[in-house]
Amino acid sequence: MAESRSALAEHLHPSRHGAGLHVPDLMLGEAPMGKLLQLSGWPDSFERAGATVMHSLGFAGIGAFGVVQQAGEALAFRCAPERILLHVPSESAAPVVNPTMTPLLDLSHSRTRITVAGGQAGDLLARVVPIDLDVAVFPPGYFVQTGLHGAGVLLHRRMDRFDVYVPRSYAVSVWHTLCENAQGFGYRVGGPAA
Amino acid sequence: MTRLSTGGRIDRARPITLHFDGIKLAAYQGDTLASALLAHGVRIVNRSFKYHRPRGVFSAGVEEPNALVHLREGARGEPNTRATSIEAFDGLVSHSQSGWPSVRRDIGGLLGLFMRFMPAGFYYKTFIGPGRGTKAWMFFEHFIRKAASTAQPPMLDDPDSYEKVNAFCDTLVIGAGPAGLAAALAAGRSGARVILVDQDNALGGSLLDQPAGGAGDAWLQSVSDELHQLPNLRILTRTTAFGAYDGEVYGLIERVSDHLATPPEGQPRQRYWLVRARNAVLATGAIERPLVFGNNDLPGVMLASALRSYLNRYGVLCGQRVVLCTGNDSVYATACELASVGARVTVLDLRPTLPEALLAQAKAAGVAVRPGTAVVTAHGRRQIRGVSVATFDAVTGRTRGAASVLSCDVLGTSAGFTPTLHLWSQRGGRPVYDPQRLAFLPNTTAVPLMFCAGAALGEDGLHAAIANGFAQGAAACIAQNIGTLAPPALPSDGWRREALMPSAILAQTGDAAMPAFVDLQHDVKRSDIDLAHREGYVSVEHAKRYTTGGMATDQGKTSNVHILSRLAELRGTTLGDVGTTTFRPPYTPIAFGAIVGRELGPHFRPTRRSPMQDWHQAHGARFIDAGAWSRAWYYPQSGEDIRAAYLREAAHVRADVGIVDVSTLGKIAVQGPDAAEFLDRLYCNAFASLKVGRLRYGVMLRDDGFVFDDGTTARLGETEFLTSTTTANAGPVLARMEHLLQTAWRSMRVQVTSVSDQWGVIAVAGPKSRALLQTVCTVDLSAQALPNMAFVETQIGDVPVRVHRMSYSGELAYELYIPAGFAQEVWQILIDAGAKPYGTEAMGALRIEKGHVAGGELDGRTTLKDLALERLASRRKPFVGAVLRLRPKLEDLARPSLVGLEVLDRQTPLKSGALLFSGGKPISGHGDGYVTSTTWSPTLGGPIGLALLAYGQGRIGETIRCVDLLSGTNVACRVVAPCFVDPEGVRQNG
Repeated sequence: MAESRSALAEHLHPSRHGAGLHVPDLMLGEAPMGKLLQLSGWPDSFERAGATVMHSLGFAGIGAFGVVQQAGEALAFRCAPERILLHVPSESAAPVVNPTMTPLLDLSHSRTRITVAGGQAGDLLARVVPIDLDVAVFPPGYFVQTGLHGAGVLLHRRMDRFDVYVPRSYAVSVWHTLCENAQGFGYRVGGPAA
Repeated sequence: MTRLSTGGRIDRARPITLHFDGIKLAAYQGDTLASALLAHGVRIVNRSFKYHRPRGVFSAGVEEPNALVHLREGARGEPNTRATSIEAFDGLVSHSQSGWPSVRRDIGGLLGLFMRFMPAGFYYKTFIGPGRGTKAWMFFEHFIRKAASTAQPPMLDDPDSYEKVNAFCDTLVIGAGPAGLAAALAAGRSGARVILVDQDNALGGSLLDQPAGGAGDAWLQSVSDELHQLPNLRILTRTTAFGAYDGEVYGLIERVSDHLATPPEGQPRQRYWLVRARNAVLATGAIERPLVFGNNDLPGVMLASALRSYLNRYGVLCGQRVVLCTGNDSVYATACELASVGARVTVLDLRPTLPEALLAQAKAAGVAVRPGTAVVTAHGRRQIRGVSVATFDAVTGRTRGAASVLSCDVLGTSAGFTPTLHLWSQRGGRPVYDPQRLAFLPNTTAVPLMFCAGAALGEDGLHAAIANGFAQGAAACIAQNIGTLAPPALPSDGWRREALMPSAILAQTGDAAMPAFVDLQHDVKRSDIDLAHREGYVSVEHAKRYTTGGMATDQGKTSNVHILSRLAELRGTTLGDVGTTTFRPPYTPIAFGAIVGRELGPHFRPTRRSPMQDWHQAHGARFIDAGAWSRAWYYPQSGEDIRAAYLREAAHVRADVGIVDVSTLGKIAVQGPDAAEFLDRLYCNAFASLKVGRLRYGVMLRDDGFVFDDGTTARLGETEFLTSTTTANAGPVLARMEHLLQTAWRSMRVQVTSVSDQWGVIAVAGPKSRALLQTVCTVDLSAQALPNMAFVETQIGDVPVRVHRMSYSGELAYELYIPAGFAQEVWQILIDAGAKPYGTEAMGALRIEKGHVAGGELDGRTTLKDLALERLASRRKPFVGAVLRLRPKLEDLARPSLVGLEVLDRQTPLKSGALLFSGGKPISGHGDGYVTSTTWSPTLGGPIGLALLAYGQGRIGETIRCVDLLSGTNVACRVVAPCFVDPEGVRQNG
């Protein structure tokens, strides 16, 4: 099977920028996308039909907006009343669905996952997204959809980093915007994160 | 003026050197440029805007109207900076920004001789009105602007960077004076997230103007320590809150590196904070008002509070013979402190009787007090040498009797204080005039989530300001149900209640022969206000614009109330009735760079890139912007220009096979049991009848019947479609779909999702396209197996690909839909198989030859009939725009409709937008239509175009003129059918 080419293939090279003699406390990188599926449905039936599909994947249900569900390595983002983004390992089989009740859509190639880690990750993101990133307001395990340099992105706070799901065509532009705004901190560019 | 050997808050252990107009100024860390200038006796810093009168430092803060200087040099040069707000640093270079040959000896000062002939409105009446309808003003304007004392901005690129930060808090406290500190403490102790900002480089506000080492400092230190310990409180100094906006959004500018010669590596010069707060406490203090009298603009005439600030904060004694003129108590502390360092001080108090305690205090300090007197006129040429003093009648508001002359080298005046309510007013608050306090005060309920505190609320004493600040900080927390706290201990000694009881807003003193300025920055005299009133500009908004009083960089911080006061007097009404003008952001000038932040150059806007972009770049493609996309335009070979390149590319497609990146097309997944019905309603043609595995071209209209967009839709399954849109309309079409589903067609079970980024799309076109594709995929691509407008799933290499058979060029052609991550690999496979790349320029040429409509024709003003597409419109189903497209006006044959154009001389290129005129008719008006798309046809070997022409279809064969009025070209053309190549469609259907 061919290997999917990252949108950042020519732009992300392990390197270090700024911060003088200090080790930068800010790391930028990319994480593999794996498989990204959109499960959707209709207002009168999604709670039940969607939950059935989610149960089959090991999730508790369709979840709540803003809160990331996790089942093993799979993540679920309830991004709209009748829409869930399922981020599952690439080797996972797609769930079996009834397309008239819960259509499934493959979006695996439509996003690039940029990672922002380190003690200054929040400070960097505060320069590019109009989101309150205080840990009390936006704790690990939460996500939000917002605008970053004109692109609609999904921002997921993990325990150790932020994942930014960027539309693929915007990925290079967003990447360079992050790098530009990171100049003041000094930063490292890492390889693909898990 | 003298730098005292002791005192002040400057760091005498860190001497620094500044430069002003080439003069070396020895200063200390902690100085401002203004304090350094004063310490060196530099009186004249600037020339006035209109009359070129000499001007010196007037204040010690952001309200400064006079001391505007050009800061730094070269690309970092910055005009119109207030010397009173510029922190001194070693090596700071500054210049006066007006006056020739020098600011001290300015030939433009001669204009002052003609002052009485140049009142408000002079330029309008002299240069614009009489010359109306001529170009006289254009001529005079150049010289008038030259004559004005204005600054010159640098023309070089700014070498510094700026950045923006989003911040959130429960309570934003603006101002770190006594009230602001108390408010921040109350809110911070409660656990609320607090941001405390102050424009100064240190906390303390007016406390910093008190003598160093007193009880105020101890209190300040204690509060400051506690605030710095609070983890939930962020302190931003050197930060100005310049704008307050709806939704409790505030704009702040932090001057990160302005106090340094250059920003540290990687650091911005300034930082723009966009703060979203739940509420705010406005503790912005008050600005002292000057008195207005004859020659009140002479260097050496200053605000009384500024004299105190320079003395206690910077150790600078602004004069040895000091006169203070006031109508309130606030200057007495200043007078005593000035006297204590050796100055000879006289206080002229407009009030006829004064409290005994005040008199005793002054007497003990050696200060002479003359109750019931006022300054009539200041004397001096380049700086103040003395004042005329006369008896002041508080009843009439006029001086009377003979004036005596009192020599002095500095005059400080105070007519009370104006609460700084700019931010509160920006939110729509209209301050109310309080005749007791002689000030405009906030109506505390007018802006619900903004709490005014301290002097901004009209509190007139230090203890009251602290108590009130704490109460307002606590109130902000209570509003959020966070809790209450006990107030802090108040300082117990060395503090005075400074009751501000001004007896007059505007002392009506002055010699009529001497100009009395109400607005120093724009040279607006009291007589100008009188003139405006006489000429009917009685509204404050009109008078402001007529006289320009209250405009410019200081936005009338020291002048507005005077203008209002004079208008009130002239109208025979009260200040409250006159009202105020409207405050708008910014509170103080801010750099454009800070607003721009890092969004410049390549970061000005996002650029969308195709999945094959890296290949295009690596292979020398030239790019063109198409909306947010950067598209491969053409691929020049050695020595080729764009014309040679695209003609070669297009010719190759006609003869062989080429590939073009069309990933930018909008792509929308339409899913659900009602998907077919949904598309039926949306498009003018039918989609319910489309079979799985087939494609159909469709056109959608707006509600008003005009064409909105077109594209091809593939039926992937019974309940699933993939719709393509034009690149430009990808977003608008999706938004329209969502809009209809959420409003008009709420019961439809349809989901629409953008998959534009999921798929890379390669168009493979040319007579050899099938043969080429057949070498790289195993599926049968014969015309029988895959007819035009059908698709098939296959693999190229080991990449899954969906092959759509459809043509935009008119040739046998396919579009390959490839998961984006594999698109470049498939592109390379096709190149390796012998395909040649072509760019959007060649693609455009090919589509014009074929007569396909695109952006030039789908401009929102054309109908199906105009574009000869009415055959698509179904008569058996309703669809958006079905009714209004049939309006008689839109059916009129006179409407321009699509035709082709061939240039008769086969040489002269056509211009898009050129107007069409019948042969032999005069070239006037809008003609019979216009050219929409043009190219040099590689197939026909000459220029061709598409156009919209009145009665177009009936004029095939006619010769017309294409006239481009901009370039002056006039080209004879033959009207032909819009399809120039293979009108029968043999090639694409073969």
